[in-house]
Amino acid sequence: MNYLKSVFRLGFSIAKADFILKHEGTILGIAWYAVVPIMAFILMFGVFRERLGGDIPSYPLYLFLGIIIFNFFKTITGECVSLIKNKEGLINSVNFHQESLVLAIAIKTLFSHVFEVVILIGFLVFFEIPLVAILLYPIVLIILTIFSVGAGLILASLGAYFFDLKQIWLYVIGGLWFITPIFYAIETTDRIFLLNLFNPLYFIVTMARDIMVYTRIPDLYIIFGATGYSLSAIIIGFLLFKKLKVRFSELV
Amino acid sequence: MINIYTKNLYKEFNIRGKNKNFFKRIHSLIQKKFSREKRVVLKDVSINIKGGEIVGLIGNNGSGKSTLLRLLGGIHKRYSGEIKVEGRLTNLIGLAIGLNPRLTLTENTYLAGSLLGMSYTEIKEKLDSVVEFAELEEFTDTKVYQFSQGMRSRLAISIALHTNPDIFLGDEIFTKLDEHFKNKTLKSLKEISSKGGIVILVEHQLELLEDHCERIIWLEEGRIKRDSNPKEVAEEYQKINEF
Repeated sequence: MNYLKSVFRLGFSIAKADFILKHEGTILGIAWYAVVPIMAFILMFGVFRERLGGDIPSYPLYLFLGIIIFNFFKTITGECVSLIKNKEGLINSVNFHQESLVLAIAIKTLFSHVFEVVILIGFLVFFEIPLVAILLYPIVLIILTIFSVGAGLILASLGAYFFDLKQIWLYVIGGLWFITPIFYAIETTDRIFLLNLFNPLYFIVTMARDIMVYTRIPDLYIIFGATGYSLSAIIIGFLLFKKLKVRFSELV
Repeated sequence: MINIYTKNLYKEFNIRGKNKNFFKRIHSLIQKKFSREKRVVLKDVSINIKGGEIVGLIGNNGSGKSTLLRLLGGIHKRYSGEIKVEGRLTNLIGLAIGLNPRLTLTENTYLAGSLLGMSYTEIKEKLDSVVEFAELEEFTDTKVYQFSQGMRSRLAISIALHTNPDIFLGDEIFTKLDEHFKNKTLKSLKEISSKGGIVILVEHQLELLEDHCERIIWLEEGRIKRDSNPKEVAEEYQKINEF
């Protein structure tokens, strides 16, 4: 219990410092947290609205939700993959719970996600979707955070040993962006659906859309898929990090 | 009981492929040379330091001083032999305790304090004292990149000392300090030892160690060459290193 308390306490302190630093010195400051997803949405909506979004009900909300969930995962994993190398000075000088570094990235991303959720509420109001849907969003966010932290722990551990992973991950995340139905929809009869059964993000994005966009209970296999992948990721991530961290100070 | 004890401590680093480009790494892989590329840093290091002692650690560059401190401080976790450290430990290795130049003094105190194991409430209570000890009262909202090296050192030392350690490990912490702050820091370190704590200082300033340590440990190529009273060890060390 003390261990968890200590990891969370340190995670919050590091996240707070990183949050201050992220847009330090920029003119828009924290407004960038809202500007970035809006810009991404406008760009994608303009490109895909007619070609891929024509048949999808409430496409703007469908697309925006997909973008912010994917970005949440991309931000955490993208920072984690080179985390140990980036923090080498600290890891070589101070004995602390290094899991806090991964947690700090997740907490910082959660802070910035609040701005996206505010825009999401705006979409819900615009599409006259009952605002009660937003009360269920924390369930999705908890599952997404657990999965992202788990993946982050795995990538941070392996990234400390294999520096090339940072480059490889760029291609993996690029592939995931196209495989996951962010800006298009898939049917269970599509070939890409089979591929998505191995893609945890598919389950989380679908779950979020079922709850938030279509205000319905997701299929059981979606619920089990999302929670199963998330729990597996956090367990594997934690065990792997614990096993590999003993050499971090010697590797960087 | 505050105590540091090591027996037959042995540490080697696997340096496989670290400085090699892609093609050389592949070549090594084919030749199966990976497992042999190791560098032994500490050999048979046995020390016993009891509470109340200030110990100096000397040796030429690469003799294993910083590695020994990192092992005692729990930073390096893999070794052969035995290490026993009893007491709350704070290490200040190269003054790197997570200070971020783009953050203010106050923000850095919260960050570094957390990394050194202090709670938010503890840091809040001690903030004024940290600033006062570092003599940086006018700079609480100044970003650390605007500080001189000496001011950064003062802040790092002040934060580390406010963790109330039983054991303090310092690696070249006096390099950037003026005489006044050096003496102030030494006074605080003596307070730690007078309360039954342990201070270990890695330093190249032999006079400083001679004046303030109970004993000096001299490391050479990872082994203990001498472990005796400061005057004796310092004289011999100086003689050997004279041109």
